[in-house]
Amino acid sequence: MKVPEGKTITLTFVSHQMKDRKMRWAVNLTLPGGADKGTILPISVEDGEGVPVKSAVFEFAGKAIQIKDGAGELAYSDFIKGKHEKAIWLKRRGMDPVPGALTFA
Amino acid sequence: MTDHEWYELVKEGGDAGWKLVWENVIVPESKAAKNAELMKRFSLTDGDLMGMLYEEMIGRKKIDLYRDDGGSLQGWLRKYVRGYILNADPNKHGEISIDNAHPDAEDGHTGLEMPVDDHGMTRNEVWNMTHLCFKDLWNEDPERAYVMLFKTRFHLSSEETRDLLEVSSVANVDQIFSRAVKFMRRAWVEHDEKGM
Repeated sequence: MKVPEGKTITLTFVSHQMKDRKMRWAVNLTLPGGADKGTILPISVEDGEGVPVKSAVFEFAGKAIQIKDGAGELAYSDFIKGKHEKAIWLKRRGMDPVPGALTFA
Repeated sequence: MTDHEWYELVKEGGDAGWKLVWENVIVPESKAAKNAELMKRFSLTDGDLMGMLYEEMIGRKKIDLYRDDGGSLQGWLRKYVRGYILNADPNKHGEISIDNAHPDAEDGHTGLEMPVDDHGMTRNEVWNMTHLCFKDLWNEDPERAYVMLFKTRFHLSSEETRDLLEVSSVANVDQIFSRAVKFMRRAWVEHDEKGM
């Protein structure tokens, strides 16, 4: 379990198409070069208008990740454990949960 | 390796052929001074070029248009890449037809013809289709989507992908990748038939 040295990889997950831009979201999960099983991966979350999400739960890789002020984190080992998990949701208070997926971007 | 052997590897969509595409097509084009300047101006990365070329050749099966009769595969592929860079200019959409470029022209200019259609729009359609098929791939098995992304977008080797995703072996990575490519091809055809 190791990210190649010198190759930082950022995975981008986006919400499914929503009419209301505020309902949309984008999440970046960064795998820093050289990361190993003990590494904590940083997560950033913005809404469809590019504003960091103040408070939310990002359900990904079978984990419920707390997001505060647009940031959260996930253990690399949990990312690997959940690599077959399809379900991705962003749950924000007062809003319906919005599903998403990994993008090719 | 002969051009014919390389062509067969590229057509398979696997790491062996596409690593050479990266080294012999993408890198030299993106490092050419004029192209580097345009890429910087249009916020285009070498990874973008690789992704576009892969989707056009494998996703849209344009690789089948290559005349495997001794012409330079490198020159033919570089022609496409030059087209992507030129078409990235929002002021030039529709002015250049990549498909009408002379397949064997090496100088980067003689093959470019006036438009028969709008390639800016075509490129958008290709990207939309790519994302749609990639979403399908995720829903089939996220691990396949990760492997596809790491190998084609981030240009990781099978060894690096094995280590990153903790896959049991390089052979298993290659098998997952091969299945992902086949799935994307099938999904592409299905969406195309349904009119996206």
